[in-house]
Amino acid sequence: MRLACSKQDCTVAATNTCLLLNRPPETCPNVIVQDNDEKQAPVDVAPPVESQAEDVGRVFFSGFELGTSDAAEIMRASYGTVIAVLGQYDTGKTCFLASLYLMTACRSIGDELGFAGSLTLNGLETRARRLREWKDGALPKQLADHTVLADPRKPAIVHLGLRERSSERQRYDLLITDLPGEWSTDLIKDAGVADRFAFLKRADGIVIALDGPMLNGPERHAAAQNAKLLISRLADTLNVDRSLPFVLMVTKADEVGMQVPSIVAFLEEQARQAGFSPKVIPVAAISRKPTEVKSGTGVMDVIEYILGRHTISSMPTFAFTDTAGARNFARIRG
Amino acid sequence: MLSKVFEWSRIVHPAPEDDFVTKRTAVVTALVEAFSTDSGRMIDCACIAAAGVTARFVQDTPIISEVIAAIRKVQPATPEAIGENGMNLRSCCALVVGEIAERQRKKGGRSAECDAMVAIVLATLANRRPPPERHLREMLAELMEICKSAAKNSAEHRHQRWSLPRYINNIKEAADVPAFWTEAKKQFLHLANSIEANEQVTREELDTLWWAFNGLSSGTDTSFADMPVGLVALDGATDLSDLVLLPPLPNTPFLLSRVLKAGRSPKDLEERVLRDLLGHWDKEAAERYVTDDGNVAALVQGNPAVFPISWVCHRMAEDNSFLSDMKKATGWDPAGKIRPDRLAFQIFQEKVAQRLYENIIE
Repeated sequence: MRLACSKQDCTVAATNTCLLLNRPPETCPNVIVQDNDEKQAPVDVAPPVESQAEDVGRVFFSGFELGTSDAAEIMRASYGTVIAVLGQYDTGKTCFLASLYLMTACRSIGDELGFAGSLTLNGLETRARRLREWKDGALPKQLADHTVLADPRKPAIVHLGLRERSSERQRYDLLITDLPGEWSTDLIKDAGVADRFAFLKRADGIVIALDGPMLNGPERHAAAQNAKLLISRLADTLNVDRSLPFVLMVTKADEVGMQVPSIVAFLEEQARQAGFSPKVIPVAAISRKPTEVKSGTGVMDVIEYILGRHTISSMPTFAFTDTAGARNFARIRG
Repeated sequence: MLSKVFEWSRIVHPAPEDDFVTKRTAVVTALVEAFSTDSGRMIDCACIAAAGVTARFVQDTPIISEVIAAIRKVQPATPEAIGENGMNLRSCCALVVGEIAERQRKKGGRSAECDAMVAIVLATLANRRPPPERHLREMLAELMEICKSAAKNSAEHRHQRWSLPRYINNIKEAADVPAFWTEAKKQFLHLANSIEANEQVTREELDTLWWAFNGLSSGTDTSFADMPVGLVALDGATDLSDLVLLPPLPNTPFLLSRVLKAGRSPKDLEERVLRDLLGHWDKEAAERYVTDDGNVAALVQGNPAVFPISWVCHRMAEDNSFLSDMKKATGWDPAGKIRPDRLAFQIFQEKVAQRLYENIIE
């Protein structure tokens, strides 16, 4: 007895394992059971694998992070708020995510919002795990592992569902990218990699992570120049929607006394000239001085700014409409 | 709206690839072909596109099962459950509504079903604060513009004056009287219909302008200047919606602004809390507004998000409270602010949509 499946992606014919995990696989409603003597019915069998597809490994949804197609599963049901977090290596992008996750787990994201599920709990937990590895009572120097993508060509997305505690119970599905710093560095160096950032057309907000201590130190000019180039790439090469919420997130701000380095004003001006309306938010995702600055300071400010929950939008304008013909009755105005 | 498949698909996919767009285009094309001749489906599509999958749509509702089946036909990995397809359904229905409206606009002339469909969209969106979700907001704004354009074209067609001499010129000489009369009768009937249509256009102009000039509510025979401004919005919009030819010309609602302004200080016309304006109404006023037609009443009560003010009137007419669940049911916050003229425009738009719906049901 041979098995085949009407679902295109199912490889039960080769692996005898059902895509939908029906056990035994013969109980799956999509299965096609064939006698060994029968010829295959081409209509009901998965189409032959193209030679190009043979080179692509099959990716199973692991719960660590989502690809763009996985994110579509969430977006199909309800609106997904896509937040693109960009920035060079070691600027604190992953720490920002870890901090957001831990704050959510401890109900420290404020009184108005609460946790409402995540399809990437494993991924968020893995990102936070290193933060629990203390040595001699001190935090490690590197708080998060270097981000490595399962598929280096596609962005990794973590999912966090939040819901308002008010009677309206509005739900927000946050789909936040966690990209390796190399992506931003590559974009700065080579506009040709812009294709990777196609998902930015769907972003609901952009966060540029800027290393606070670095922007205060001797390498501040080089760091600022790189950030300026990144902003230019977003504006000129990727032509990102200028009306998007655009956050300049100054990370590790606890190490600079929660003061925004003066050079950030230059970057803010660069972003304005590029057409964006930047908002500078100092963030101490994981504070090394918790008695002075609480861990997570500023993290929810970034999220709330992008969600814009308390912004009251304007009603559509009701304007005079030009109509064909010369009748005055058609040209009434208020 | 096939030209917007990629952009509107981004609501449900962060980076839709060519294959996704091709398949979605096929789905929308198939649904447009199926629904263009089915007014019920067109109305349901418009409700879902404009207001989302509301409580009256369940798994077994025909529109839901048909749209999901159409999507699964080309994208079998799509789940069947309505709970997993809310945004998917909305973006698909928006594409269908946009495409039907766009095709009708390009074709010219009028379609009663398309008029009702676009009126539903405009009643839902034209005076409502857009949602905070960026890409959803953009999709709805674009959909509204397409519907406005289709409504304007249809209204201009309805309100045009027909040239009459051509019908006489079309009558040819004939060898005998019966042959002559066969052709002549056709042309005379066209001529009579055109005279009637021209007369209706002229009558509408006279009736509405005299109504505005008189400044009296048809329901209570009271001067609008002596009524509270919230009640003027209700009665004025109801009166005007009964006087106009359908679909109305796009600038006709501005007559309501003039009626509201007459004998009133500018302060009276400023933005105020919606609850306060609704407080100017009473049960009798609501009863004057509510229709006797059972089909229309069912449409209104099944779609409070599409007809928020009509829903309020139905509640008031039934002596039921409405303030506590108005926001949840309709999406309109009674504590939100609105200008009296915008409230009047909304009421007018809802009444027009209901009249157009009534026409296609008959």
